[in-house]
Amino acid sequence: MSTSSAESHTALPTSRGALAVEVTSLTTGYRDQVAIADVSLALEPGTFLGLLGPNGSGKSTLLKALVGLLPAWEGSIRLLGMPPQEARSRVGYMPQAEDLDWTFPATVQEVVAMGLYQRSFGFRRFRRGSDERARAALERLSVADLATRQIGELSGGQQRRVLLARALVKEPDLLLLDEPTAGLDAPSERGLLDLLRELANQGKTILASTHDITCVNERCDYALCLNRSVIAFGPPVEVITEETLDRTFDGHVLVLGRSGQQLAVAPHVQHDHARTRD
Amino acid sequence: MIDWLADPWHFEFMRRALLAGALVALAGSVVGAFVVVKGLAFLSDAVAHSSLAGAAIAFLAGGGSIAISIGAALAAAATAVSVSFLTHRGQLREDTAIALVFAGLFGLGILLISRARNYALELNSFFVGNILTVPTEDLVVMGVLAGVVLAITLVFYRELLFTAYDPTMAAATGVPVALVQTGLMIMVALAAVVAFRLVGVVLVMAMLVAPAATAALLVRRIPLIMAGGVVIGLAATVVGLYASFHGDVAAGPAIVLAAVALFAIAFVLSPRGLGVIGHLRGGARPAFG
Repeated sequence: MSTSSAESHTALPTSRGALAVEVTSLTTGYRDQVAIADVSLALEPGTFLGLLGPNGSGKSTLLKALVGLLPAWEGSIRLLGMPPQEARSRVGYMPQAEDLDWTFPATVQEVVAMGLYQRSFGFRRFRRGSDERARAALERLSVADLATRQIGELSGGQQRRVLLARALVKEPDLLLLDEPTAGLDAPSERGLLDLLRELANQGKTILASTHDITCVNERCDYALCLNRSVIAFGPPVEVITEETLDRTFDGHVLVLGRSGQQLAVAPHVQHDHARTRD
Repeated sequence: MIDWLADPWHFEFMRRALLAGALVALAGSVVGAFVVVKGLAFLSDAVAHSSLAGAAIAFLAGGGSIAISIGAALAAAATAVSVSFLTHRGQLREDTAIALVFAGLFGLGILLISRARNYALELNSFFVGNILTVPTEDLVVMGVLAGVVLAITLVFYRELLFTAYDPTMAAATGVPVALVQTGLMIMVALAAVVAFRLVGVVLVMAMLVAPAATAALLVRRIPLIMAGGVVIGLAATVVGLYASFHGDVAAGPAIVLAAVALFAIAFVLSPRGLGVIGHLRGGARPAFG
């Protein structure tokens, strides 16, 4: 089941045309609190980056800055060669499923069709055809049968697939995914990551935050370890070492086995801590 | 029995009241669907009460129904913007911010009306409505405002729905979320102005919340909640007007009570409430979710 990381690297496009993602010395945060500082990264089209880091390390902040929800205090962001606001129509974003109101009265199809939103004026506003495209996106994630369901009836795995369908529905070139696999059981998680791998192979650039070090190791072209600033960035074999994981997760990671195949467990410890504190 | 049913509608003022009720049901439910689904009842109540200040300024300046409506809408926008500012910049909890703006502008409204010559009468009509004496000019304004609310909802439905469901993603996709949220509050104010005449400022909230909340127990899509709310709001108006006519009670509160009573009935019967219908059929009660 493991794709060797070396193999996926040979699939990397080597031409240095317009970078899909180019972040230079980015610093941003909330109110007057710095959340991430001096973050730089560059991704070529068709690459799959796994963004690793504990809760509160700034993974969501980085993704929000990339979609243009947070302004860059310092540094710059370019997506597909453009400022984030101009790249919107070619970028698909998936927020954390936990942040959404799943009791909202809407059908799956309505939610997926929201992904097609574009600012438009006059009669173009009433253009039809969004239903078919929403259905096609759901079909791609093999959940077409859910189209007419209430979103409140979905399981965790189905919720993620619907949100991913919403991010994919306008056929974006760049996907920014915030914890797409959080809370999924192992088979659903693997299925979803295989799908992302396939999309990257088709030329889409994917940046996904996750807690799952093993999956990043197996499926991503690059890994970025973030803990308020970049701890390490590069191919997973180089980045995912005991030392960098220790620094990224503040020593909360247990690394099992070290030669070639690494199994790292633990970031969820952070969740448990948070819960006991409640 | 037929006479009992037909008698009220022989009177011009009752037919006008019914038309007014229909307009309130329309404007109230279209806006109310978002208010109920997003939990904006307190903010909307504040907006409705605060718009009294704007209405009073226009009224004292000698303005007619149109000027009063514009004044109310401006006050509503001021309320929405101030609450948002206090919450985001001042780091106040939203309900505290709402209470402060609510109290300030509502107080200002009452203070201004107290300058009017026949203070008690004006205040009373603002507070409890006077639908049975509504002049034609006011009915026309109510109709126009209800039409405006409906038109805005139709044209900007995607933005309203997207912002209501997922403001983060909406903003990331380029929806002007802050503008849409303020716009929704202005629509609440316009719906409140439509409902003023029927039930008065104190009970306006009932006509925004009760029919839509009742519909939300029965159907689970925003357009259906809106449509269901219109039907339920209209039914409440009819029941309330019968009670008013035959029982000799004030029309506004009777309509509001009927709306709340319809909610209570739906709550007892619907699977999303107590689910009595499901129990009678012997079916398992579906879980909340």
